[in-house]
Amino acid sequence: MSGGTGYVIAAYGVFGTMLGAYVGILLPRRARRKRAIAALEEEAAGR
Amino acid sequence: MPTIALVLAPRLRSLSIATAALLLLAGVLVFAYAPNDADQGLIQKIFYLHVPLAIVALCGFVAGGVFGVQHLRTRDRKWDLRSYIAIHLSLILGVAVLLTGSIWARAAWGHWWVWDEPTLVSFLTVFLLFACYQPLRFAIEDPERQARYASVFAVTAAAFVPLNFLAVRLAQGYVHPRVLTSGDSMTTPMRITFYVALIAMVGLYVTLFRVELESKRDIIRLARARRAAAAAAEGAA
Repeated sequence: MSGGTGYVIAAYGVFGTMLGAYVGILLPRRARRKRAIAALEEEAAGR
Repeated sequence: MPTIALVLAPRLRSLSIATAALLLLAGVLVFAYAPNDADQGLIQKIFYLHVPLAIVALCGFVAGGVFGVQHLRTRDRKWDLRSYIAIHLSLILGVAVLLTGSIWARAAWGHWWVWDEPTLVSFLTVFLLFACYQPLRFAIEDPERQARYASVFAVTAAAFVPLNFLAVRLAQGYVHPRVLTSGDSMTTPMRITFYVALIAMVGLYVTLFRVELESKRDIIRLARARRAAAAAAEGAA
């Protein structure tokens, strides 16, 4: 690739991958915790 | 309920949407509006990512220190949590700074790393210093002591950031381009693009900080709910 295109793609790709991985880990974990809290609260209310 | 709706409260959702829009706008400006640099060509576009990342990461380290001061002053654990999250996020951004910087250095200088360039080495020093924060923090079991020691470390290390910045400015090796001080090297479209990219990066940091903060609060809530459920089950038995 000419004019450093490959390097530009690599730099933005690294950032995009890191951001995607971070958000991809963070959000589902938070959703799982939220569901667990809701289930425990429901259970407590049912007692 | 869908994951996004579950994890992002309405205010956090608005902030996330605004940040995503700003990042998109910054991307459009970088690749469709800002002209190619006459000297560096296309690889200069890496700076619209690398420099805002570095600025936000360093400010995050300083913010971690400020939150540490607040914790030591008030003994309120919420400041320790904020200090921890600020440093945690800055460390992640720091990895991106080092990687994007290395890619630029390879394209511009033909080397992945140059040891006699003060900006690179000083950032690495700050990064490695803060990389010690987590091992130190999690080596202490008692939560009170953990928070106190971590805050002292955060304050001390944060004081090192402006000192380091000053040392780099006073150093002689001006090989690394100065984006904010060399007024003639940036045209108006480049400057606008740079500031939009910087605002977008600040927005990203603030959004991730808020999401992390809520996530850590959920851990505390979940532990409390589990303890309450266990106590109720014991009581019933």
